[in-house]
Amino acid sequence: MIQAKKTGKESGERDALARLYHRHGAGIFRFLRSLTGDDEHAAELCQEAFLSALPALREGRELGSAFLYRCARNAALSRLRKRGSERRWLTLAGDEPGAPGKPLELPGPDRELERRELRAALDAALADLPEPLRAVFLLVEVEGLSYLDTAEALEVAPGTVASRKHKALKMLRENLRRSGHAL
Amino acid sequence: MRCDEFAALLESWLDGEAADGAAIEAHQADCESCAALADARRAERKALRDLLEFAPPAGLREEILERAEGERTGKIVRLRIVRGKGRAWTLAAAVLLLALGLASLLDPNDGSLPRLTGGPVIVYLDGGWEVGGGIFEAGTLELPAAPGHLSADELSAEGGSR
Repeated sequence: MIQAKKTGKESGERDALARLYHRHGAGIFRFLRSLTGDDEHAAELCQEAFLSALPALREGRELGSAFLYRCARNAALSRLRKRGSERRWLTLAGDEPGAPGKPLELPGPDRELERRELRAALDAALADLPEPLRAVFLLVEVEGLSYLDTAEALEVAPGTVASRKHKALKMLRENLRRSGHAL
Repeated sequence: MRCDEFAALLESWLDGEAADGAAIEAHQADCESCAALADARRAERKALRDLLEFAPPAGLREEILERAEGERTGKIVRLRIVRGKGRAWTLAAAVLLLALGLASLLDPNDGSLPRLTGGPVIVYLDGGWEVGGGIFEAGTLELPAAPGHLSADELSAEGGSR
């Protein structure tokens, strides 16, 4: 097959996308993995997220993490809506009281099985959070985004971020407590 | 600052969002139990981050770059249906894709037809038909446009050689 020689513009677009992935790829994948609880879905959605950023990239816009996390979350929501999982993902639950527990103790590398169990319990506890709370929690607590960037990524008011994160933490602790783990 | 005020501000402080960080730090330095609370919460956050550390699969970067290239050249095509609209057009496109796919399978060396290597995939999802396109290694397939039914946005370039 004859491979067309790449023009400077084409090569520039590829380089820009590669740079974007280099900067944000790991975080976007990690976010999507925790959001969906599934490696394969996360990889597919990660592709969708970066491809959906292409038009903005072509316009020469500087794309920050908030923009990419928004692309990622929208891709995830779109996929889950299609699969008829709206209720689990889109319902905002009430503010259930949660008992503060002991800090989560991470098993050492020699206790891999225990670590895997803990990760599975955490996956399940996260999955039980309503999606808007889970997304806020992951962006702030795990990805380290500012409240402002998180608000931009999730298209909510900045004041909503802190309250949702507070609810998410309480619910996560309660979910983990029910499964016999403490956070 | 009182201990209850410290506890109320702890999360936003650890998130880097507290307005009066100096006062919080001063209280932490003076109060053993609040310092322990902050340490416990820091350890909890670290444990969470460690547990939720997932590395992207090898090859993901290349797949993204390849799909972007496919989109640019029009070799990768995916057709989406908007629920309740344009089903006839989408189904017609599905049939066309399927026919091309079958034809290219029957005569893969001819070269006169786009060769499908990864599709088409036609599935019935949530009350609507979805047509996922394959990768066309040679030639570009033009799908029929139906104003009011299938827009340019719906006919979006995307991958799908799964």
